Amino acid sequence: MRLRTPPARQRRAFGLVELLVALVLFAVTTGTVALVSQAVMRAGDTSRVLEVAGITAHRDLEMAKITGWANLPLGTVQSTGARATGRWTGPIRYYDGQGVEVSASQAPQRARYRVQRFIDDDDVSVWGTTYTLQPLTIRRVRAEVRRYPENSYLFTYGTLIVRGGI
Amino acid sequence: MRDPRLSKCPRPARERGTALIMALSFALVAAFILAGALLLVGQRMGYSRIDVSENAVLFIAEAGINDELDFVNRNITNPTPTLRSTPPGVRSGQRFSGRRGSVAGAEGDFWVFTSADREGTVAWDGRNPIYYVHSIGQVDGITRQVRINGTLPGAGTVSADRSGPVPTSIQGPFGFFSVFGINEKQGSNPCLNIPGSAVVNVTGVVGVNGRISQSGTLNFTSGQNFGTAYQAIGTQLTGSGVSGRAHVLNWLSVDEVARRAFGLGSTVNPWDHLAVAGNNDNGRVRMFAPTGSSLSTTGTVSARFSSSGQTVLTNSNYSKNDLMLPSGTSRGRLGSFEGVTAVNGVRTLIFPPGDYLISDLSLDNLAETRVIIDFGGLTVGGNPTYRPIRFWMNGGSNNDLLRLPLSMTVPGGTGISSTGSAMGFRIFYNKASVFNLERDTSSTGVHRAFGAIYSVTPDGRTSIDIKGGGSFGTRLELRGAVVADQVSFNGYTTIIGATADNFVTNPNDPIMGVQYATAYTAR
Repeated sequence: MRLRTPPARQRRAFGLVELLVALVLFAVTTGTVALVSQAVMRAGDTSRVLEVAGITAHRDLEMAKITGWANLPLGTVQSTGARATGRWTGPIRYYDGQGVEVSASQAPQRARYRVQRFIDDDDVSVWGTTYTLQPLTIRRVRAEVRRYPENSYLFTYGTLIVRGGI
Repeated sequence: MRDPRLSKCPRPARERGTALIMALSFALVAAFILAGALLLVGQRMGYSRIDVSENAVLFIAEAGINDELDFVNRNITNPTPTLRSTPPGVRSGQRFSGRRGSVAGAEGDFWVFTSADREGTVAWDGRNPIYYVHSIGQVDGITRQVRINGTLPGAGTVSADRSGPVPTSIQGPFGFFSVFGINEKQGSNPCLNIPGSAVVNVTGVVGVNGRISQSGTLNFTSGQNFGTAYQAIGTQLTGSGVSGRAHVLNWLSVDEVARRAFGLGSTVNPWDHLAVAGNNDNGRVRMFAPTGSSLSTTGTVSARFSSSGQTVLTNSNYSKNDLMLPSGTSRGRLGSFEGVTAVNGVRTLIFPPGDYLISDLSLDNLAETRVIIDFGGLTVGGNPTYRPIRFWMNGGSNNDLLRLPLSMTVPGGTGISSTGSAMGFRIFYNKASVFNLERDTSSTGVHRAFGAIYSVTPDGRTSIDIKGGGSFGTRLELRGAVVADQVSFNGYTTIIGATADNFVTNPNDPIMGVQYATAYTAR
């Protein structure tokens, strides 16, 4: 029985198309792998930063609680009236990727994110431009975490501290 | 035989498309790997977010606890028990039991309520000394419950060496303010009166709910809660940058304090209760007998109030009142005590821990009398629970006077302190009269007293007048606190509130609010 074979030209053309398709496929696959790998690395980095940032925010609020209702700093008067309010805005603290605090001068090189504490005091006694706590003052403490240097918002931990509370 | 034409083909037929197959295989494998990696990273991101939320939710739940404590502190005086705290129960449209709240600016919400039982099913009445605050926090769908088991002040004890927990919270009546004037309804008297003759130094916090009249000098560590009706008379307060505010602190009336102190219902007259002999400790009053120089059970003898039917406590008229006389004798005993030379007329009145109902009090310096607040309970076998000596004053029509040196026995010790601790002595004053706490003019130097005076009535009828000498060296120095409708000063006076060596709050103080006290549970 005689085998039917395509002409030689056809055989060569088929091989070239096959090769081109394979090359394109390979290139697309490789490119996708590269892109996704970058995304995976970024996602992994974000995940780790979230974890470390969470620990740092947790630490910041715990420190605020340890400092205690009476010893947390006082800020400036925000409103007067039946329930006057005050606010203290804390300094920005910088942390590297391991959660170790770095100085502001080192922040551009080493910092990965920043934490800032805010204390809103509700029901205070106003003394001109300043204020003091009174027994029923509620101190709302927040630790806001952002990426650095992008300054993109991550999350805010918050709690309330009252005299005689937990 | 092999077909020769086949030998011209560079690749055999079975190898055609191999490159494509390999490329497809590569793509397939890569796709699987990428899908797996994306899945893992996605999970990791999710877990990280969960970690963040789990950390945040604990703070939110704790915020709920503190928010409820604040709620109770602001509403504990509400006559309706169910409004003194947040009762359990799921509100309309809510997922969990209790009141919903949040920390503005932070993620998450909390639901909180207070109950009388651990399970959180029975509403708390604001009186039972044991209560539970339950808080559920929620952040990004993650929930966490925190529960505290608290006790009201008055339910606890302190250790014998005073190293144990001594409540200093605002929930007791004397924990925060050294001087507080509350009610100016009576006539035109201000809440706090500092006339030109007065020089008052206060260590601690001064507060009023109404006006301050000041032409004398008032120095204080800090001031709180000056009301909108505050009138800056003088320079001291205005120089401190005082500004008015509308907030008014609510205080329990003495009637209600007495009810809570003795666990009485809201309709019970506490003074009727106290008038029953078994419900007061008037029979425990003792006096020093000359059997020795140290104070002991055997070194004292019983004294008693007047026999006129009223609980009059006076040393001004021995023929009328036999307060200073031991039973069955006609005269007071002589004795020497803590360096006091035995001379005719030295009489020592001793109050062991307990509650004394007094209608009129007049203890003047005319009879060389001295008063010993037996906080250590040395005459009755010790006082391990630091129960204070409490004078409950009600019913009499006369103004009252305490113008004698006070001394205190020390719990666990054998000596007597000339200064004493503020936590051991209380005067609850409910009369439409004036209680005068004055320097003993027959003595020299600083006249020291200790303890806390509480005098709050719905109609503002009481006044506490504190009078020192004409110079700082002859001042009256009160280690403690004064909370009254109206507080007035004269002469040189010093009020020393809670300090490291001056415990003002006593665990037996009546209930004024709540405080976190014991167990903490997070789950």
